[in-house]
Amino acid sequence: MSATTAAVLEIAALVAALAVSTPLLGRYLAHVYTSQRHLKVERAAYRLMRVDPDADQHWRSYAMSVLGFSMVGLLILYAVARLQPHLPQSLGFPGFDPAGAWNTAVSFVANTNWQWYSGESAAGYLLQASGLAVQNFVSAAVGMAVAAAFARGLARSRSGGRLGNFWSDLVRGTVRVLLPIAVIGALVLLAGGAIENWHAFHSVTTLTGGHQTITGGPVASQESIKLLGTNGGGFYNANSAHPFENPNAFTNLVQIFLILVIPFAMAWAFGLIVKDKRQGGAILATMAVLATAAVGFLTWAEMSTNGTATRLAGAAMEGKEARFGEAGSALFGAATTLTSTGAVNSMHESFTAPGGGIAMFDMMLGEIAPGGVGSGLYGMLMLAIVTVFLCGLMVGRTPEYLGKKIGQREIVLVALYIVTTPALVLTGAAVAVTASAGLAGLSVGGPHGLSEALYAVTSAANNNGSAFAGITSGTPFWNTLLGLLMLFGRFLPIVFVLALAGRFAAARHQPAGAGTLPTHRPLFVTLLTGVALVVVGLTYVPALALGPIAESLS
Amino acid sequence: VSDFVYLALTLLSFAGLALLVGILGSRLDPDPDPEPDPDSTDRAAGREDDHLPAGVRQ
Repeated sequence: MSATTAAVLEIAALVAALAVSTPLLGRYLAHVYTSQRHLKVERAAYRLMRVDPDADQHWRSYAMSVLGFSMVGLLILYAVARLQPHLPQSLGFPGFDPAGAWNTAVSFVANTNWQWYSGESAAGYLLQASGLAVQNFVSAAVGMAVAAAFARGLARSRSGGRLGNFWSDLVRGTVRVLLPIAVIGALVLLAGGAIENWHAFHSVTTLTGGHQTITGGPVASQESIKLLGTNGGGFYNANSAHPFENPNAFTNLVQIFLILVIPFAMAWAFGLIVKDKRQGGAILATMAVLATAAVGFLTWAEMSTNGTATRLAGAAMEGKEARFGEAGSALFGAATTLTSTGAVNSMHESFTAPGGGIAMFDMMLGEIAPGGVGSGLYGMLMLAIVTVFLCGLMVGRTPEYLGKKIGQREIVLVALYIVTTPALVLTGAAVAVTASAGLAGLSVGGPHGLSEALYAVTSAANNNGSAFAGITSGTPFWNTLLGLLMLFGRFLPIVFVLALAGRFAAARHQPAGAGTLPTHRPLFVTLLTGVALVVVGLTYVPALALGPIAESLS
Repeated sequence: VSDFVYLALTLLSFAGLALLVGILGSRLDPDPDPEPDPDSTDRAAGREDDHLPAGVRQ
């Protein structure tokens, strides 16, 4: 079978699986976030946390719950990383240094999973399984909760800014959605050959007589939630390129499916929560258009054998696993950067210059196609509001979305949301390439060195977590800078989203009139796609021109 | 760099975010879409005199 045929079949199988899962899971998600009934296990969790799951929280209370829960999680994870040698199942590894522990704690709480360390040689089982994996579940559930609250804000009318209950959303997302799918995903990965054991180290003699230490561990169980929660932090440093995490083309396809399944389904659920399936369809269609373009361009870039060395080798296989090939690597690379996952099955630094640029551009889009679990949906909805506002200005229509007027205060909140991430990325990049401590972490100079720094700060501020592997980020400077970008890149947008949701929830629902722009038709999908690309293009093209574009042309 | 620095950084960051929630709350909380004031509605509709006794003109 030719590489092109394999690529087409792989993409076709993925699209078919997503076409089946999206409406099914979307319906289930809508039910989860609108049901009045609590399960027994959920009631036990509420009693343990001493919260009232039926309290309808004002947006401020909801936001403070998100921040409080995340801060406590951060401090616990920091303590576990620092105290690792004194805790059980540390495998003899020392504790993380303060900067490294803080970076790791922020990273997992912010659903980023940027890893400056090698998991198999720095993190013991307790830290991996009960520290990092717990945050893989709950940080994803936080994102889904915020998206659900935003959808409810749009669906409600004159509710006094009340959005539902964060604790209920958090527990339901974890118990009813992430846990069961993660268990099924882990079993499928196990069946496909991923490992799951508690065997720490095996010393083996290689065929050439050398000695090698092989680290085992509970890999499949963490692999599943790593992808499902769009987290991305691997048990091993090589992440999904490691044969114990991702043994073959079948598990590779399963992993890509796990990355995309919830984000696409969230868009379907949105349509059901706002009681207009067509609105969810329009958001879903926009996500699909952008994702298709990104997958197509990245696959083309990696399969077109640009460059002398690549032509001589016959394929751009440097940094890629032979068992996945160019197409399997490009598809995974697009899926992981279009969402906030950041897992890798190939080295993104080894992608062709245009391929690496597309991966970076995917993240710069704000990870909206389909984006992280929850964050992708609310990111796309923010752009939808920008679109109706711009269209309203251009043609004199009333700027409103789903019956909610977009006034001055609403658009200010949206503008703050849109500006936050680019401001963090570009400021972070400027600091990184002007400080000597920042430059010291880059493996090369010139456009590729700039790309390394730009990719790192883009990945951190967008809560992706993947990296151009040449960068050395395990220093106090990089750990602190990227930690700050991850923290504010996650929680500033969440605050703006919840504030806007509260404002919508308090507003009266206006029936659509003659001046209302229909937001469910193909025209709106086209406009929204254009706005997403233009907003990103205008913001980041100068930086991209100095990095990957300059490298492509050199 | 000690644990204290990162503990302080964490607390300051979240305190800043909480402050932002408070500021946004105080600026946004007024009802964005209040029930229309009957008088102002009447004025807008050109019915200023409707509340006056019959025959009385301002």
